[in-house]
Amino acid sequence: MKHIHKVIFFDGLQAGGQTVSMFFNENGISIQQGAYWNADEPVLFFPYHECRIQSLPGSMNVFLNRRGTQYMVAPPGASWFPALQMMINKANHSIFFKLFQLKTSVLVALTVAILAGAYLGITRLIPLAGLRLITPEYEMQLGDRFYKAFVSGEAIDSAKTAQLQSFAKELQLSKTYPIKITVVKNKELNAFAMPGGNIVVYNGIIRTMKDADEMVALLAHESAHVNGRHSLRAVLRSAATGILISVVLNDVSGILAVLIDNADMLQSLNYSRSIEESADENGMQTMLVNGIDPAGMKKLMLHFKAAEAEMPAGISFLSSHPDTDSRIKHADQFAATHKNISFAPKPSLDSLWLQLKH
Amino acid sequence: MEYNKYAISFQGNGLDYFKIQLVNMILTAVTLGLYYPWAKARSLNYLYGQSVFEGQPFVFSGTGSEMFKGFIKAFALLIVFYATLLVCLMNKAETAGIILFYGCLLLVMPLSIHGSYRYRFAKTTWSGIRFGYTGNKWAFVRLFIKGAFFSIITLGIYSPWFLMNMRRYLVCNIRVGNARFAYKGVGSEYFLLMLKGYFLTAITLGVYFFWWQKELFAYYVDNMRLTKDDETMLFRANATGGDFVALLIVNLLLFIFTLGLATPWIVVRSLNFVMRHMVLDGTIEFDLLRQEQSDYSDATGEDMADFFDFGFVI
Repeated sequence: MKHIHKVIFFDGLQAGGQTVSMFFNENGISIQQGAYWNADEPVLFFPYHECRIQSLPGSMNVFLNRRGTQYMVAPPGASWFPALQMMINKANHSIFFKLFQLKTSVLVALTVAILAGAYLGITRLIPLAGLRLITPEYEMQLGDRFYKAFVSGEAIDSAKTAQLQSFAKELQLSKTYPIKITVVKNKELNAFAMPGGNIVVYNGIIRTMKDADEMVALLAHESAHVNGRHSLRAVLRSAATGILISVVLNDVSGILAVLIDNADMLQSLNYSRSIEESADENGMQTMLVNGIDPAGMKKLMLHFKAAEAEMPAGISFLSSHPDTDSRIKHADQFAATHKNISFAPKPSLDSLWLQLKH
Repeated sequence: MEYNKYAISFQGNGLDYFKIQLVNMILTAVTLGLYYPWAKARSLNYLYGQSVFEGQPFVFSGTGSEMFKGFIKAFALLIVFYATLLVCLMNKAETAGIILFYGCLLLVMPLSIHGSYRYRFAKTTWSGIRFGYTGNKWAFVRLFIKGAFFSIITLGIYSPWFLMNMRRYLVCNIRVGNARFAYKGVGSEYFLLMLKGYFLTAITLGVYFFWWQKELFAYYVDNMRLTKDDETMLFRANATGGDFVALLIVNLLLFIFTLGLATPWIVVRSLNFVMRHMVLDGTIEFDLLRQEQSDYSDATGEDMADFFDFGFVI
């Protein structure tokens, strides 16, 4: 004996619902017009895989096709409803549904884990692939373009540029890249490297320096950026984050974009710190190779630290040369381990340095 | 004819919507973004399903696979578009390239809006009755190009007229079963509304902004109506400026203090607000609406509109 239930049925022809007779078995849902089941009358049959349940506060709607045109409403608290619900859910096991059944906390953890994985994966993989694909030759071309764009707006000290270039020639700074130096008329203490070998030095820093070994430290540090392809790495990294946000996570926007932006900012700070530290370390190695006392690195940093103290706290906090104190400490330790080496005087370097200082 | 008053309500809650977004995010990330159309279908499904009129929910019956197909088509179109542009630029035909670019944009934008309306409304049902959009593709393109042209040469002064003409055309072509929507807002009134809004917001250092939003909302809603044969239903907005202060400021604070994590709750709050502050009164007997609009499953316009990020605004 099958159990007949009364439900409200929306037939997809007219908006109002009507009371009909319904029963369900393992195959699907059968509906017949009228309050009593009549075996001779036509029956509408709906297989479970076409059905979908939607619960609203106060009512349970069972949609009978995917077009949303036919559905029935079960009376609140109907005793047979859970059995029907089970049948429908069994026929519609999507991954979405399975995940949706999980606790919110589990979902949050899962999301965070996947996002962190995707973030780390993509921000590591894309730079790795990019560094392989972009040859040093192309990098030099790229760097030249940056350089041309930069110098067009700056006042170049061509005499000092030539002097510093011959100073650099005395040193072994890079095996792959031709190191080209430009001195810019600017009072600030600053110097930076561009991809492919261009190094820009502000003459403010030349004025502040006392000895040649400080300049060697500066050039060695900047060359380490060039040799380590650091600016290329940074560009690739931010491109990777951009790709992650715009392509992979497309429209799930609000939350994700903000989360990733925040994560990325912390990461970038961390990253630039680690890059500076590695440039210090490699720079001091270069100094050793050139027979210069690495203690010059510490002297150089002390100039920066003194200049930093004059800067408002807000600027120095997020500057690209973070954590000067810990870097000074590191430079000090490095120099201490090489204390016993005696460094031969370099008369040619010293005389070039004296020219530069005049 | 019986005179009745109706309300719409939104019964969704932030937590459920948040969970849907989480699952969507997981699946989208794992599939490298391919799940996006299905994710969108899930979200719309939920938001429509929780909007209730006369005890019956709205249904969004569009599917991920339809939108995925549309996505592929829209993507192919974009590729062709950019490839042509690139060819022009590489052959030093910059002027031709630029003309092509803006020409295509002027054509693609109205066509996307048209396609998106057709798809969205064909996939919306209430009480088993389908909505529909019956606008003519080329009539809308003409209207759009004319409006865009005048807006550009008048440096934007014409744009209120443009927007109202567009809205009138779009809304007047929306159907639900055998009933039709209408909109009677006009450019001149909208222009004054915008002028007054800018002016007073500036004078009051921004305080008037909330009352301006209230007026705009009322202008959208109060000018809408639904007719079926000789029966009519009027839409009325009953939100006050104070309501908008509460809505927008709380939304802003929620967003800031959760770093954006509260976005699902903000969406739910806003939908709830819009529906709660809209009432319908008139003589249409909704039980007698008949199924009259046909189904339409091409989501290319919908996805194209997504690419351009116009969103979906009535």
